[in-house]
Amino acid sequence: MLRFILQRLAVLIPTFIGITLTAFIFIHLIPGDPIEVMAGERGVSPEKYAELLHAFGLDQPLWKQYLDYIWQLLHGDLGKSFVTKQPVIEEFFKLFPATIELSLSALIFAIVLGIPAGIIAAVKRGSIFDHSLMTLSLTGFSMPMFWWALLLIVTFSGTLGWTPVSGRISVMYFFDNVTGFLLIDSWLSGQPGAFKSAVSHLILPTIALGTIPLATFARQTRSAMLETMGEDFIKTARAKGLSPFRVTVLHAFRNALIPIITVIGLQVGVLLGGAILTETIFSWPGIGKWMVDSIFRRDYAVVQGGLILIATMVITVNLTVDILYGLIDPRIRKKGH
Amino acid sequence: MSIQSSNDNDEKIQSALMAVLSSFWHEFKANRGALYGLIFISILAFVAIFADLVAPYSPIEQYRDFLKLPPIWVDGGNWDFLLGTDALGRDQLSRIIHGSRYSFYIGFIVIFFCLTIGIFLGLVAAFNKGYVDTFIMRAMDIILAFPSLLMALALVAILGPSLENAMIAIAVVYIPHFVRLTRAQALSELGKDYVSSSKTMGASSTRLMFINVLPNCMAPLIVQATMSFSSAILDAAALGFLGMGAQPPTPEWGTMLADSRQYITSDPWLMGIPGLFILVTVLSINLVGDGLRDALDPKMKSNK
Amino acid sequence: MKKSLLALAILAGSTALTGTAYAADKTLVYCSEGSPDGFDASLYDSGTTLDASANTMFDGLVNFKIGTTEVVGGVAESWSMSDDGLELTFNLRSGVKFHTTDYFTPTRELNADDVIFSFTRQMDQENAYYKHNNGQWLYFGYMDMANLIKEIKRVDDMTVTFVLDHPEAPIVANLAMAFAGIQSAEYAAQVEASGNLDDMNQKPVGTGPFKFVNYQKDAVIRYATNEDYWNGKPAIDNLIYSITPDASVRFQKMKAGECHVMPYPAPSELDMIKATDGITLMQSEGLNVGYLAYNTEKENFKDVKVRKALNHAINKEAIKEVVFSGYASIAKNPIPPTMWSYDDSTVDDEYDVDKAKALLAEAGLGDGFKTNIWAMPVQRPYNPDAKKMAELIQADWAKIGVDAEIVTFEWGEYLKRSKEGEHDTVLLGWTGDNGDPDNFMRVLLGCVAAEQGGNRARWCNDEFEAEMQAALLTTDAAARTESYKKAQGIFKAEAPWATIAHSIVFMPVSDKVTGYVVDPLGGHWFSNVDMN
Repeated sequence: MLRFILQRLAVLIPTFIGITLTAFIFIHLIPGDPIEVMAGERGVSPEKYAELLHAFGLDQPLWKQYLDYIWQLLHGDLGKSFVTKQPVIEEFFKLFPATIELSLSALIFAIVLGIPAGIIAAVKRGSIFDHSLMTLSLTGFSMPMFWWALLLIVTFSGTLGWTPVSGRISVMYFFDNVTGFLLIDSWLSGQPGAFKSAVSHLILPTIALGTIPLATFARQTRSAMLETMGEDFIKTARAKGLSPFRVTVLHAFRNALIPIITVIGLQVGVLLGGAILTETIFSWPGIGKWMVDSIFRRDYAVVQGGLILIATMVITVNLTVDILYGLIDPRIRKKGH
Repeated sequence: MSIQSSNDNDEKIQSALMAVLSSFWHEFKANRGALYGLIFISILAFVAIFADLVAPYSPIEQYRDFLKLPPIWVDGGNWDFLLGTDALGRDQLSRIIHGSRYSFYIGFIVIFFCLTIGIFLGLVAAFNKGYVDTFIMRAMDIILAFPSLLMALALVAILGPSLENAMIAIAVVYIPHFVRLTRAQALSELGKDYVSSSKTMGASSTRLMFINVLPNCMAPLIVQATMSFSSAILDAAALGFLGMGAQPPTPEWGTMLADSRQYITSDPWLMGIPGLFILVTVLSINLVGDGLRDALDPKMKSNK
Repeated sequence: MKKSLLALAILAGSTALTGTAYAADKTLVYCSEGSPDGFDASLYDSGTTLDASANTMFDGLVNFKIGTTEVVGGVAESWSMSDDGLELTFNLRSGVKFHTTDYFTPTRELNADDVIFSFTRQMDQENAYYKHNNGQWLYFGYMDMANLIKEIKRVDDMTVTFVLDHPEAPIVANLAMAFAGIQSAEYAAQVEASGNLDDMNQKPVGTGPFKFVNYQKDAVIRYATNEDYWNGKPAIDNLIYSITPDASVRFQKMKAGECHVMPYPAPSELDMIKATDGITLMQSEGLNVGYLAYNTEKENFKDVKVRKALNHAINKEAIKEVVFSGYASIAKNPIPPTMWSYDDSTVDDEYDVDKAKALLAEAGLGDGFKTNIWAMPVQRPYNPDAKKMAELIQADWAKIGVDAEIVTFEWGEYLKRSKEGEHDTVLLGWTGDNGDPDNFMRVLLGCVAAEQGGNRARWCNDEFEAEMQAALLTTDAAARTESYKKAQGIFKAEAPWATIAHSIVFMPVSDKVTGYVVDPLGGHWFSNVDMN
């Protein structure tokens, strides 16, 4: 097992170098000039321009900039934002909990609704429920997400006034950021209404971000269930006279679980991508919005550092899923050899 | 001799294709959703091809006496402009009709790049185990490590905001899926008897790649291509929404949606109509894709 | 964090600890449009950042009287200029206290050292803060202060003299701008000793009406009232900036009572806002101008007739209606009507397609020509939707046979390339910094600016330039007015720009708020606001 894990880790090293190189090249190919963006309509004089170029290290040859960057990276330093002058890593960890909170909440929303719906649809294959669920989920799957999010805002916040419009919590609550996860912090704070406020702010972004995973889970669960339910051991179990509930949940579902977990693992990248749009629309102070803002203002350091951190996270999750597989299913471990 | 055998092959492929197609069509039309989807897509394709004839007005002509007219079913609608007009007084219906062209354009171009580049790289990787394979697959891993929308956004920022560049960026982030799929399919085909027998008969590896192995990998690739077609439309719209897609006055649906965002509360239909068209189009293509998969994938068939 | 919570609780009357924070106090929530880049206003130039830093927490030697461009005393009580216009002396106010926060406790009141520090850090390349910030003192650079200020002399504890290199009329107004806010030299020394120089930018200490409590990026900034403010304690107890980038969302929040004041409403929603109960839509003429500059170095635009023809072809009424939803005034001069020396007798190039065609024919371009319109990728008060504006102008010009392509770039690229003169015509604009016409006409149309690129028309006219220089060197208001009026006449005759519009600044304000004044310079101020 250890060998299996080490092997997987070894593969990550060239991938990681590739990621840093890609991020670096990306940034330096992006036209536009962070100094011009900073100066706006008013502009800077040529002398000042040269001074700033030098100060940011942008006057060095590219290969040297890259090597310097890698050297910094090895020391855990991702550089400082050109705009806020804060260390990139610090900003990342300040904003990251917000993204995690939203993504987890969307994931849970999708799992809790999607998997049971998929099971029921599979059990009642061909029924009206099955048909309407599959149509609905395909619709969710086809939804332009930003449009859906705006529709949700207009309907539930604008017209009905049921939910707050944007942000993570009402600004009237002010308490210690112990964990950075507002659901936990607001509850810990003990301020009446704070927790409720945090939850109500989370509802619409969760629905917006969770819709596509929800549709995916429902569809995948249904097909995985159908597949296992057709297999011999289920037929045997049925023939043995086990209750339909036990057959479905204990036997069929358990065996359908592996493909479902695969799909859940794959959704991590999707959620992070989706966070870009959701966070932008709901003013959710997370890393998705941070990245988009930074791309637009040519904050090289942030875009570069952010890309590397996010990509590293994605490959780490993939690795974890890989290893989990190895644990669950020894056959995969052997295939790795 | 080589001519002879290639003719044989062509015939074989043709007859096999006919058989596949007829059984496929039989499966496909049994799926009502897929059929409806296909009908909608066909209508939309017709409208797109004959946009100049079908559209009542030019998509960029500004009727400045008719700004932000609502669609006819809303109070204040005008029969001259069935779906209303936008903030510059351009006919929404005409823009939607002309915009459908861009949706097909986006879908086809992205799929074209994905299929050609993806299949090529996938086959090369499958046939050259070792460094080449490792290099290609690691490169694909790297692309996949970045969330696709973020990657596309950064690519468009590099290339400059335009519809063409948005399409290139989308194609780049989709290609790894095609490479992986092709490689996996090709590897499993390579293990089969008929390949080793043609190898022993001295078939060149290029020939083997394209004539023997590729056709047998096509089914999952077609399904993947259909799904990517619809995702490409969605992602292009998302990029347009972030200001990184088509530029004005192009009537691309995503850009239309982004342009009307500021009227979300005052004139919601400005945003509603292009969004609805994106949704229905993507849904139709996905329905067709589902139908295709059910018809092509024997495993799914057994579940029917 | 723990500490600052405690500090807030003590300062704000122990509310945070009793459970429902802020309930008993007068807490004003301002839905701001974005996150500040930092809190040291001298480093930045975006209005968003200045609102969150200079306008709440700092004072200059002199300040603008809120709601006007009139200069009044700040931490300086009085000031005087020597007869040769080369020595500007400030007498500081006594008893001005810097903020006491959980990260800094001042041991002394404001004195000349603080003033000198605030400026030397922006001009002395050896200063630790200059180095730390890579010399990125944006406004200090824009206003060319380094070449203007020769020396700052400490006369005594409470008197400083600015020795100037040459006389420059708007200098006092310049010192009322955000970049000239007074920092505490004592705090700076403490921060320098701690080694983390970023703290100056992240944990600000000023003398202004509010003091810093807490900032969560992209979410919220909290301030508490400065009880010891020299100009009188503000009426509200807490000030919160709720960061809300989307205009529609800001309005939704206002409607829901989640905030009391918001900037930059969407033009398309103004009618709706007006009709909303409990919200008053305040407005004032913005000190800005949106324009289309013709690149006068390009062959087709060298001829003034062509420029005039294109001006006559643009339907500005349509632009006003579509882009500004009717809420703007059409511009005929390069400076806005609220600015002194504005020449109201200027006759604008009226919308007249036939006249445009005739002029074009006279210029020998009767068959039209191909050109481009550059459209900004960002929203600005002077141009909330440049792409739409470009589309309108494109359609207008098509009627006289001019075939224009719309070009856009990423913002930095846009500024850079237009500065280098790659455009044929470019949409841009300007918002005044200090209320002086020099800050519009010379920086946007002067010869130096033509060379450096700030003058996007690349238009250098000797007569115009002579008026600019004359007005710069005298402090006599009447003579300056005369010069600027003449310059406006020359500008209109030569038409280096199509002047498009001056936007109107709108501020939806909750009826719970009293005393709010709209600032023509575009800032947002809360020291004189009360709530009921």
